[in-house]
Amino acid sequence: MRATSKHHSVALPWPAEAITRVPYQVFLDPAVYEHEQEQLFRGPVWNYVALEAELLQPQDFKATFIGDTPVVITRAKDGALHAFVNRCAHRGALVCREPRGNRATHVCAYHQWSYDLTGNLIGVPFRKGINGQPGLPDDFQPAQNSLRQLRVAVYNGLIFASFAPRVEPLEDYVGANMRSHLDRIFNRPIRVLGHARQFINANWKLYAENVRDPYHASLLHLFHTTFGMYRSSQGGGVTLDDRGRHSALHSYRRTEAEEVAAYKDAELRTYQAKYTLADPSLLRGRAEFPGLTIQTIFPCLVVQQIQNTLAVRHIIPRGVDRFELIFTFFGYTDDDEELCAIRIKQANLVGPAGLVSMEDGHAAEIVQQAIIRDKDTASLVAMGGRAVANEESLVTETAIRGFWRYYRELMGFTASAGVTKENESWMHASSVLQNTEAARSTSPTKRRTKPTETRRRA
Amino acid sequence: MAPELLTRCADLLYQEAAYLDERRWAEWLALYTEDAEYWLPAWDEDGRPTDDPQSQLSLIYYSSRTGLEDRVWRIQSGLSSASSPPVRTCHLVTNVRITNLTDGQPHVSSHWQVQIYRPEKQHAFTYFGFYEHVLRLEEEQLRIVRKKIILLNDIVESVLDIYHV
Repeated sequence: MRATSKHHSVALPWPAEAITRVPYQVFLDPAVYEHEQEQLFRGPVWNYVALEAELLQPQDFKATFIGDTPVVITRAKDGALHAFVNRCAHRGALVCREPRGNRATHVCAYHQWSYDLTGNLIGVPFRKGINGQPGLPDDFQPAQNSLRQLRVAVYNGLIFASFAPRVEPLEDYVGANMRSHLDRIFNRPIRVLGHARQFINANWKLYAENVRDPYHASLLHLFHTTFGMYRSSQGGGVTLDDRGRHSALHSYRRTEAEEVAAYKDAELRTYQAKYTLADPSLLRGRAEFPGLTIQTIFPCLVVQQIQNTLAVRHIIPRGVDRFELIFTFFGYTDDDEELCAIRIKQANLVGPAGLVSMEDGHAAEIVQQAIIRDKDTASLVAMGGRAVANEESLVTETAIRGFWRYYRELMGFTASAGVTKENESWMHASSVLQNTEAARSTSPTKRRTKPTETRRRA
Repeated sequence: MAPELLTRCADLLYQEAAYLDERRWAEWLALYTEDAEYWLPAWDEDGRPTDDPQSQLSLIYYSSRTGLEDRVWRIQSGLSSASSPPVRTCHLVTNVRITNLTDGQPHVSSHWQVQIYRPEKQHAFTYFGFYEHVLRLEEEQLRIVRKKIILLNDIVESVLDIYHV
């Protein structure tokens, strides 16, 4: 099936059983990557960009990315938040070159064009010329030469931005199920504790899968299980939003007796009681949350609560086979000194040097290495069945299926011929989603679509 | 300052580098006192390394040697896919100076570079920065009481562990 936007055309045959299969081409094809920038990151989604706690004062700013587009988030003098593309309207230079700071205006280094905190152009050197020689033409309109301004919305201290002229309200986008999880973490003012950054040589969606995958947790992460932080048999499950695009994986500890019973007969490497941590203070936390929650908000936000460590992880694509992962660790403004120290200490568990999360980036890399050829073959995400639904089990890939279902919807990728019972209903929905132009001009099978229903689910 | 002290300090740093490169973990751990502090600060929003491991983020921080023992256990277990197959490292330590002796313990600063080769990816890269060691004489041996590592290129290539720095 060929999906097109006004800029790109991508041929991508999704396997017939679309719900449990992911063709490797989506991780390899530069055309898919380009199509994502338009259809997904600039599509009808809310992209996480910052924490309000990073922009507390008027004139504070943060430079970040939506997809791979550089953007700046600012807090204006009236307290309102703004977002704009970080690219000078004149000749395309990066206007803001610091990651964070406080400025009344943003001035391009190249020719000193200056912009206010909303991204409006307010100054052009020699606009009227010099020594009687002409400057810019008389019909030059500063208002038409501002930085591209984006929509901004805030939920519970999380700032999101959108390129889309029409996008559902942020509260609806996040959805009731996900709001309740966010409300649990962002229940009072937070304080940023620090950042850590790493580069991973893999497509960003391999990490999007990883954080929706509770199945791997006890199998890949030796440390989790060896020291009793996490076991597949422990209580927990997966909650999705109504459309399956966001997810929350949560687990809680069972009593000692329950755990012993659960592992009595199992000979899994995930239970190795003989090992104990030489430095148990690393795990000695404070009772605060019932277990562990890894929450995702499509496309690139992860909110993590592991014991007492709290962090948002921002996935930034850097080309088809590389992404950056930024961890922003935080606590609450009312944390006492000891609790703050506990959060800091447990930050040793996650992040690029973290005992727990070291393997996640590595796992994404070994997939990227192996799929280099055979891009028309597909991975299997069938653990737990074919449903995209809330589950009371940690051995499930339901959230990964939800991610891909919504991804296909945004990207206009539909399954190839041979529709099976399982994906029939989805096929119906996605055939309506197919970009109208694509269906008319380039689609080999020419699905009929109603223009007014483009990109709306049936 | 006695030149032989500087030589002894530098020898210890070179020995540590060799143990890390040769993956002689037990001998590497034995260079540290039991109460040794090991600290790899993160960088803050103003572009400076964090200066208080208790209240600010670190990339790695242990207040005693036990934390390093856990790291070594993990590496030796062979069960961490992120740590196997092992990378090959080459630690270069230079510009060794004794900066302070007032508490009877030599404070030694040095510059370092680690060339890293990942056979799995057939990819080589470099981390580099500064070390600050505090050494103490124990049973006629100089041992490490404190090691602070400043990692100048803190954008991590996938994984960061004790043998990378």
